[in-house]
Amino acid sequence: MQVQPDQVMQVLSGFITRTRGSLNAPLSGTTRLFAEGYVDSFGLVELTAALEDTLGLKLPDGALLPEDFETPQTLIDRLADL
Amino acid sequence: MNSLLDALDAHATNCPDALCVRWESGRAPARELTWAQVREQAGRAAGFWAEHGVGRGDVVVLVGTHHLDFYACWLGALWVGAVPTVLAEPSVRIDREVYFSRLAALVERIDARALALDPSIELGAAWPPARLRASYSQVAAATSAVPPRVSPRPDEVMVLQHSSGTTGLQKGVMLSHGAVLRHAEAYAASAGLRSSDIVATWLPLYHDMGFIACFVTPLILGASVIWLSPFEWVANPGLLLTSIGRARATHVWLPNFAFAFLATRVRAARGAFDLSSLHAVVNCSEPVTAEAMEAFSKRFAADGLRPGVLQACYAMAENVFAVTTSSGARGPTRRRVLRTTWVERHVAQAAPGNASDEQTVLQVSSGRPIATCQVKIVDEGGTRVLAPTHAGRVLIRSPFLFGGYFRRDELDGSLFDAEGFYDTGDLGYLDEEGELFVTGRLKDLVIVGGRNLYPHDVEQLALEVEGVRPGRVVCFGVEVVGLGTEGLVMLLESDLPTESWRELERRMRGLVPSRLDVDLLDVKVVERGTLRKSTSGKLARGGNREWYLQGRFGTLPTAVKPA
Repeated sequence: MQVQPDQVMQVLSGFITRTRGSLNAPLSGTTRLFAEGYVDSFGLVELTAALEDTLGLKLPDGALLPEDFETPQTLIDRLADL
Repeated sequence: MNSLLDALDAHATNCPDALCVRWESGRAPARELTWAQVREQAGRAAGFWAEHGVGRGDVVVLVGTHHLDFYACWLGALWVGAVPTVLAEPSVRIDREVYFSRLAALVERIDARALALDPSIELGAAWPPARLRASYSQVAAATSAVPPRVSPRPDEVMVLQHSSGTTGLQKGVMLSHGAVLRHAEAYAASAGLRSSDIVATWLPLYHDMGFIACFVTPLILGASVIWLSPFEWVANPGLLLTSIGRARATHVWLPNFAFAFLATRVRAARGAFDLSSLHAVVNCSEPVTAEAMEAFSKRFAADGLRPGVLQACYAMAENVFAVTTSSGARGPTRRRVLRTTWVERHVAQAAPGNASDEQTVLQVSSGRPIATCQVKIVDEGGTRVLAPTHAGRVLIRSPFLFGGYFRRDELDGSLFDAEGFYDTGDLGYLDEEGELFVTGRLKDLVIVGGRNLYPHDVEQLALEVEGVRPGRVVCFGVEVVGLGTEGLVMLLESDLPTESWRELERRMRGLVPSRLDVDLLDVKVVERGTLRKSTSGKLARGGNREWYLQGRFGTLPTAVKPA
């Protein structure tokens, strides 16, 4: 599907700011979201919903797995493949 | 029946074409194995192990559990008399190098003869060359002759469970063939589990609940299992419910947080699932909360969830699995007890009907001891047995209690009391009816989403970071509101200028997940001398937790309820 990388980054930044209080440094495409403590697996359902809302799309159930959220870039790539 | 393989033999002979296991995924077609297929594949895998010199008493490490060939590899190891142990696979969070160096250290320490991995896991280059290493597919594809099956003695070690112990020194609970079989018999009777039942699960197998309740016991009884990947489940929790409906599953085991998680995160409309086939949804491996159970039954009332199917269980690897379980339509008993008596004297005195919520505490039982298992509550000193409703240390004894920790002889002397009871490290009481209420724990342990963590490990890691004052880090668990589990909090003192504290906090948030595979719920850097010390000058986890919850170290995250 067609995704705007900027929009994906925006959703991620918004989600992290909301759940973690602040971002400290801007995200880059290679920020390791899990390993650097920005995202945890319990938050994925909510994050997926936020992506759907902002991108205006409906992802099939189970379309995204934790490994797809490894970095912003892996997520953008996965969305483009869907 | 002398071993699990005798049971497998019987199922493969009596119902060869019945379902043993099915892997389901939202992304790939389901794959399944019948009992006859599982027996056949186990024999072939045994051929691989035998050909490579793996035999009686050799430890075989298995990493990765959501793979079709896992059953063959594990059962094949038992076939040749080897001792399989399942370890956690690397997650998306943990640093690969850290993970593999730790795995290698453990393999060395327990002197494992072989290592078998899910083919998708790539091992680092630095690997002890003396050990045999193979992917599940290689083991299962072997064409060597099927070796004769080893008939173990009942007291021979069958498996090691590495679900407890601090990082690097994980303790391998030794379970004998006899213990595992006796536990299956006792637990099946108490939990009402039969060969016609179907278990649905996403639980990992390196933890006793997934391993014993959802893998070993169904194999012994001849019950079928529907398997989902834990990684897929957490991103798509509704998958479990869809699978239950499709397979008409009868039994599910879940940690407490999963009840709350399913209740709040599943996005499907009410009534979208068919849960009417369920006989038991068992809450186990974390403290059971009334809120999580209630949220779950309310959320899925329109999905055919029958009343009285939610149960609670108290279990640990040292007792194979179950110690107590609730059963029957009544489910786990709830007691409303007087807060003052509870807090001041640790006595659970039933509250009068007109007592207000503020005056009472709601406690949920974990049911009665399963057949042949005994629970004893003793005082702090461990000498005096306490009366019903009086809380103390929870001690257990059973014919399936573990024999000790593998290659940790130094621990053996202190494991059991004079009567052969094992001190669980948990606190609780028995009510007048003999139901166990687990109300706290003495051991320094935090349970995050069903996973056991030791604050000491996290503190040690933090102390390596520049800018942290030596010895001045403290970690503890706090309840996460609405998620039915605990979150990890870190407090540390630093001599760095205050403007770099945020950066230090950020480093900790990044370091802990990548090294220990767990998230920090909160981290606060504080002034030198602010953390609470015990009389001996060491930092007190409990004392600092209390101050933290009072807000003395700054604003609490929204997910934490202030004291």
